[in-house]
Amino acid sequence: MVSLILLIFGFLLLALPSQAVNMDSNQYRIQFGTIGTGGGKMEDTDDNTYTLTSTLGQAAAKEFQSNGFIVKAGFQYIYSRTPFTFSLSSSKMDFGTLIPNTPATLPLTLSVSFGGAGQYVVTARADGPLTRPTGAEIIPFTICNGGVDTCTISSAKNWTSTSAYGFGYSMSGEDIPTDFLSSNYYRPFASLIALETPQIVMSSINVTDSISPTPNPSYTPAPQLTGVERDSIHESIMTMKVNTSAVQPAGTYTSVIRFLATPSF
Amino acid sequence: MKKWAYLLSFGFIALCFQLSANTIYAQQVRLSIDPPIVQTKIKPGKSILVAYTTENTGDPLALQFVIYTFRPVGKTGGVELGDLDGPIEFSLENADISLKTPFFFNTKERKQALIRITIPSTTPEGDYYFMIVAESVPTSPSEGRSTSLTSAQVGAPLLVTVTESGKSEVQARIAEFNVQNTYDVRLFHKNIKLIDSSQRLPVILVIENMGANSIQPEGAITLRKGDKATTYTLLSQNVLKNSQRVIHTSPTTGAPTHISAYVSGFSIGSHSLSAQVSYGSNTPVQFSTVEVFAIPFRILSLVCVTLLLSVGIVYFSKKKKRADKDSY
Repeated sequence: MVSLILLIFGFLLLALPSQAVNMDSNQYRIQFGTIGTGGGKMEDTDDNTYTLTSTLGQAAAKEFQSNGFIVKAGFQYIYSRTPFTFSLSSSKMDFGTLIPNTPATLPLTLSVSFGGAGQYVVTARADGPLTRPTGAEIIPFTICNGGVDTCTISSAKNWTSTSAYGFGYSMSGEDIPTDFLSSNYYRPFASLIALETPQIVMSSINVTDSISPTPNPSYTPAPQLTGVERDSIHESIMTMKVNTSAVQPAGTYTSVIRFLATPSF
Repeated sequence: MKKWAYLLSFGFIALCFQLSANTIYAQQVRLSIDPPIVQTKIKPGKSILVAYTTENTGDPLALQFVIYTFRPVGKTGGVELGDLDGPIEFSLENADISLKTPFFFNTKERKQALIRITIPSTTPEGDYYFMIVAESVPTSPSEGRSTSLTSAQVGAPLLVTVTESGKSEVQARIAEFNVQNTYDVRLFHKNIKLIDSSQRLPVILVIENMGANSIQPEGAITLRKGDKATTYTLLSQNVLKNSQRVIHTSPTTGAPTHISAYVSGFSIGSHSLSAQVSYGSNTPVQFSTVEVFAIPFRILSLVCVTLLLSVGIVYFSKKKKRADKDSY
């Protein structure tokens, strides 16, 4: 009997939870309540006198007119149902206990999926340097090795010396700035309290599929597509690095890094 | 027998637990926003409602909607956010959330932010640029450990043109049309740009908008040699007021953001690269042309190296033969 109960309990555990999508509400007026099933470009096959672009749903380009306004949503030259998506692999970079003259590094994966957008830009800026809750002590931003290897918020340089202290980041992967020549190249973060401009850490222009010939749906004959489809998810790795001196006051240091991902205008 | 039944049941339950366990990742932030851009032309005194859908495909988080102004930075589509100011008014029509107020946003949850944009009747005509941002609120730092917290902000540009007549001001010019990686020589009082015929030539086309409204350049970059022409169509990108922008082409040529296109397919001889740009109907077409002369430098250098090597080999083999004869 006990075995039977245990078995039933086991079967119940196997049942996966169902999830419902909340589609509407009495309080909402869904302005773009169309169902996205397609969209594309049509051309006059007879004498090529017209071209019709159509999109369904709000995510793709759509234009509507009314008295006194025109609104265009999405990009008219892209036919995609993929929303613009940005992800960070972690919301917290825990450096643990920092040991003087021993650099601590942590990777953070940045990922952008921009099927519905053309160009994109990701910028980063810190609220300030790593600071103790009292606000009295800080771990300053790095200047890298110093001398000819002095880095700035827009120029990465070598940071290999264990006696060069500070907080900074390196980039590797797709769509990163060209000054990150190797994994030893670092920059300090732009700082909000220093009123510095957020710096671009990822950017790309890649608005159409990299297949040849360009997709151009026609009725007959269908074009033979060759090549490799565009990689619609772009990923890079930001490596944050902290190195402290023996005279750095002990304590817990915290900073906030804000990443802004935008499809470009 | 009973013992075996218990053991079997225990094993089965353990297996069930294993199968029903959800995959756990590190605290991941993954946000999307849709539509990615909204552009509107609107009369003073009107208001519109725009719906933005945000989805959380990462871990549960605290999220807030914030509206900023923005200005373009550089020529490659960079933006800088600023605090919301100006005459245009925004309000969130949702009953359960407010602007700049964090709310709990669960995994796989979708939220539609209904943003009402009101243009007071006294609003001066012109362009106003905003960024609708869904941003995660940083979590608390780990107790007793040095931590860098992250906040993910995903934004959608909102371009508002306030106009009574519906007409836009177009004042634009080709600020730069040039090619890179050329060898510039001056021959017969003429500047000649030499290129390697086998290379991909980076072409830069920058449009400057000097007007009060954003523009969308149209046209093409064309490579001509004799009767043969290859055309790269300009993408319909916005150039915001008082700014410059690198305009890209379609199909994409794999060029980075600061390059308009990589042009290839040169044969030996003179080629003409031209940009033909207009800014909508009833606007004049602007032209700019660059002449390049393609020479097969790589093939020539390969031939030279082969010739030199051959001459060297013949010379040394003859010298060796002579030395061998002398030794006899």
